[in-house]
Amino acid sequence: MLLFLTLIDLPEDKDKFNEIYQRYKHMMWYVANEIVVDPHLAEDAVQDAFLSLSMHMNKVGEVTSSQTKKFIFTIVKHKAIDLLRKRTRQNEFLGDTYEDLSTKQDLLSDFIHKDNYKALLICVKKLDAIYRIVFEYKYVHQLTDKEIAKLLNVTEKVVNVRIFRARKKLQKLLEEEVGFHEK
Amino acid sequence: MKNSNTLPEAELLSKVLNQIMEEELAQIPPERELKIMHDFSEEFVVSISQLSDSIKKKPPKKGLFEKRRLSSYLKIAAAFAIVLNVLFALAFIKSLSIEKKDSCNKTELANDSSESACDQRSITITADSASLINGYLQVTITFENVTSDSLSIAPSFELFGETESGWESINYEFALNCGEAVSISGHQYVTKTYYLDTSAVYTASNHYRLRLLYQDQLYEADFVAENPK
Repeated sequence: MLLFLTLIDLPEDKDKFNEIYQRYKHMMWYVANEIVVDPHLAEDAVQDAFLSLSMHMNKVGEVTSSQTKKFIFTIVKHKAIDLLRKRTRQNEFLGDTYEDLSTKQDLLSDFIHKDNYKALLICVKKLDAIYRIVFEYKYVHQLTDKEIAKLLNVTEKVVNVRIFRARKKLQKLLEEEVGFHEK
Repeated sequence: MKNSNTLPEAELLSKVLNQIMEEELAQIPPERELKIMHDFSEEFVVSISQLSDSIKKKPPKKGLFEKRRLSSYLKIAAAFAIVLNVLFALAFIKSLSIEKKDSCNKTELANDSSESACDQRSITITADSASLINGYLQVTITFENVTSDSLSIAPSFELFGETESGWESINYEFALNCGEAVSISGHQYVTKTYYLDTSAVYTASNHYRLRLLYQDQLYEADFVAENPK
């Protein structure tokens, strides 16, 4: 069924949107510019981020809260990476082709426990930005796959693939990291 | 094979990601320094202002009378009246659209499937010069008979790909600004090329359908994307 983009129209959203713009626009530009290293492209990323925000204002809580700041941080990073990817004309970073998402290969849970917290911290930092973003949307902002798909402009299947790959990548990194320390 | 690890796993990941994000956010210079780093372009400011304007304003606070609760009977009566009004309005709109359609059919000789409007003053939208490069669809969309200034052109569009099971949605976007309006032979044109990621849907035929929502009206254009050699 056709689900066309509609702009938000809740009464308080306009005020909230303007407040976010005034409060975070410079921070957003800085974050984007750190990624794209191009002031004008960074501006485009901020613009795209505001567009996404305008469509997901229901996900934004108190403007001054750290949760909102983090949500905006994730969105602008994601938009900057997207623009960079489009500019370099690289195809999807890993193709996002569908594959067997069987849980048999997913042993990440075995590596994630409190004893491995430091290793986990190191490995998550090593994750590709695009994987980190999917994780941030899922685990920090608690979005559903459907909501993430809408934000990323992809299908739910693609989101599943990305999460699966992110988990596999993290699992591999953890295997290396934990193994390295055990030696 | 879900076990009790699932919850702590999500919690731990959340904790780790939060910590990393806080570290990264702490490295961002203070606002006063950020302000002098970059001046936003006029185009950016206008776009954001437009975007902000597209979000409805907060209504004024309700008065005392409005705050009073209506009795359940009154509520039912009001709901009934609203339903009746809506039905009348729908019937009226339908009769108007039938009349309009009839008048269009009489005056139009040829009907292009990609052109949605029959009124000379209303815009027409065509998708052409479509090519598929590395999974990205490069498509040029032309807005014809655009009379307002270019900044007011803010269409949202959804792209579909033809698959074995029918038309499947690929993505949707919202364009803040299509570009500058150009006048040729008395007509106003705006042409803009978009790059759309098609990797989500496999289309053997390269047959696509673009639906645009522009000024509350839906336009549709079918086209085949070429693979450049």
